[in-house]
Amino acid sequence: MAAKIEELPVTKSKTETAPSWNVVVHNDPVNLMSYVTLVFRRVFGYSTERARRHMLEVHELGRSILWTGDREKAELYVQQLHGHLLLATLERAGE
Amino acid sequence: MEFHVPDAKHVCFRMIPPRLAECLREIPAYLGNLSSRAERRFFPSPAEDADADELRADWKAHVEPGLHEYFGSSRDTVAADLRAMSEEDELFTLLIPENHIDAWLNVLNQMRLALAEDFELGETLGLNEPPNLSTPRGIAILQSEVFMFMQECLVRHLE
Repeated sequence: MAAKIEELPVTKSKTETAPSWNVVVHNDPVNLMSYVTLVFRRVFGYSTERARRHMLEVHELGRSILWTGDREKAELYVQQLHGHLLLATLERAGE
Repeated sequence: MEFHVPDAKHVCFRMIPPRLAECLREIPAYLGNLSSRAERRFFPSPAEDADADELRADWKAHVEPGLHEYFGSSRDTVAADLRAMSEEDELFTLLIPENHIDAWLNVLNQMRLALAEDFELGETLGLNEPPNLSTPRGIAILQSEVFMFMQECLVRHLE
C-alpha cells in the first residue's frame, strides 16, 4: 500500500513573496563614460572595476542591470540616477 | 583654456578666451528656459512598462519636484561662480571651490543634454568631425565639446 503523502500548506517568507525589482540604466550617447562610471561608484558604492564593467555593458548592449532588490530601495536608486541625468528605469526582476 | 589646481580647496579653468567666457556665462539663462524636448530628457519616465501609469504619476508628483530643486540649486551655484570669473589681459579665470564641483558636473551635463536635444546632436557627438561654425548647430557642437572637456577634467580630478 502506497503511503499517502500529506500535502502541507506552502508558506512563504516575506522575502520570497515580495517581487524583486531591477534598476536598469539605458544607453545615452551624450553622457560621458567617465562620468557614468563615477556616478555608478557613488550611487551604488561599486569599485571602479565593477562600475566600469556596468558602464561598458550600457554602452555596448544598450542597458545594464545595476542592482536588484526591494522596490523602495530600487526607486531611491532610480531617483538618484535621474538626479545625475542618467536614463534609468525600474522593472520587475525576471521580466 | 586649461585646467589648473591652485590649492587644496579650489580648481580652476584659466586662459579662457572672451568668446568662451561669454559662452559659459550664457549657461544659466539657457538652462533657465528649457525646451520641451530638453525638459522631457531631464525628467525621464521611471519605467518602460505600458502599465506603469501609477508609478509615473507618483513620480511626477513626488520625485520630480525634488529633481527640479536639485537641478536649480546646481545652476545657482554655477551662476555664482560664473559671476565671480576674473579677467586679466583679456583672458578669464574661472575659480571653482572643491565643494562646487558636483554642481558643475551636473550643470555641464544639463547643458550637453539640452544642446543635444535642441540641436539633435546625439549621433554627431564623438565623431570628431570639425563643426561648421557658421550654423547654430555647429556652434552647439563646439559648445558641447568644450563642456565635455571641462567635465572630463573635473571627473579626473575627483578620481
